Amino acid sequence: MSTPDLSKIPSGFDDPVLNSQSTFRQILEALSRPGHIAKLDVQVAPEGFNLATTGTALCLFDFNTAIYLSEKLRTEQISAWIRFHCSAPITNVPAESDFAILAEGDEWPDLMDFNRGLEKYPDLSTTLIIQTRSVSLGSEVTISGPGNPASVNIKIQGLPNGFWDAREKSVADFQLGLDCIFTADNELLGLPRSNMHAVKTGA
Amino acid sequence: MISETTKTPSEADQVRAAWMKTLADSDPAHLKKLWSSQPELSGLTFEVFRRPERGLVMVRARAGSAGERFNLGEMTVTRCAVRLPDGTTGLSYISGRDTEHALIAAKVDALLQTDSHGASVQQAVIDPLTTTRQQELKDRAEKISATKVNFFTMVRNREDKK
Repeated sequence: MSTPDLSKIPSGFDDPVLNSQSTFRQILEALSRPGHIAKLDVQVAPEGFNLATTGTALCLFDFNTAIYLSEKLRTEQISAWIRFHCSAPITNVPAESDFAILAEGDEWPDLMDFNRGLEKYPDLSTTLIIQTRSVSLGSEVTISGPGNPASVNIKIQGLPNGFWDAREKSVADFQLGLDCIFTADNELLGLPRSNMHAVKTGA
Repeated sequence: MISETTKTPSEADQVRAAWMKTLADSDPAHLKKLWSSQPELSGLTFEVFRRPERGLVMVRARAGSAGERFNLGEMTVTRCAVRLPDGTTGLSYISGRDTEHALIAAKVDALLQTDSHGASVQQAVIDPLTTTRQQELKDRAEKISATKVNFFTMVRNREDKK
């Protein structure tokens, strides 16, 4: 391991304590009310990350969480940024990761390759942070489940073909499964494994 | 998940480690005095990309120099990272809670790596701190050696006890 190049690393939260608390609150809100679009207030991001991904990383990653990055994100700058701000180890094995950041346009691993938790410890699963073009302008998908009294339509733009089928397979044997956080610009939308989705045909 | 580095650092890294240690060991008041006595340094612009932040570090050691390394206790550490306009970064990890100490130490670390200020900062800041530190260690050693007691141990053999 060589010393990371720090000459271009953007700064993290302006106020590490208050900003991570408010970001945590927003992520919690997004995951407990699926379909709700939470807004963050992140100012700078390393190249390759959008602002909401950056905020989520600063808030949730630490030395105990292994991070999987999709191919486009495996840059010197991003790994230096993660090491400097989060001290998190980076892994290339999807099954070993606690968080996976997936960029639009990349070849993603099969979702079943990620860690879907154990029956006794479903919380050990990988959380997917999916960078998209928009969380409000895509084609409609109806989601329903806990935290979401009436079903709600979400509009994620920029997901690869076959994502929803793969997601369905990955959450089929609940309590195992993957939780997703979709990020775009400074907004994020949560989709925990407990919510079922239905793609609208003809949309 | 935490890996320990066993690689020996390069010579440049060792030199840098030495001055970072000097800064970390220094008396905050002394460092602040030396820093403010160099007005042309205080006027330089730094981008603080990690503001001084306090935290705890678990110190691991072999208690009594024997056995496996184990958690000895936690100590307060303040760290900071700054960057000069040319991209040179300065880091500091100091013991204690003095945020200004950490900030100045990071700035000094950055300047020492530059050709323009390296020599003058070495002379104005690091050299006096090193001298003071060595004197402190020497005084302490003398104080301890003055109280040294030589124990005479009498060897008795078992026959005496009867």
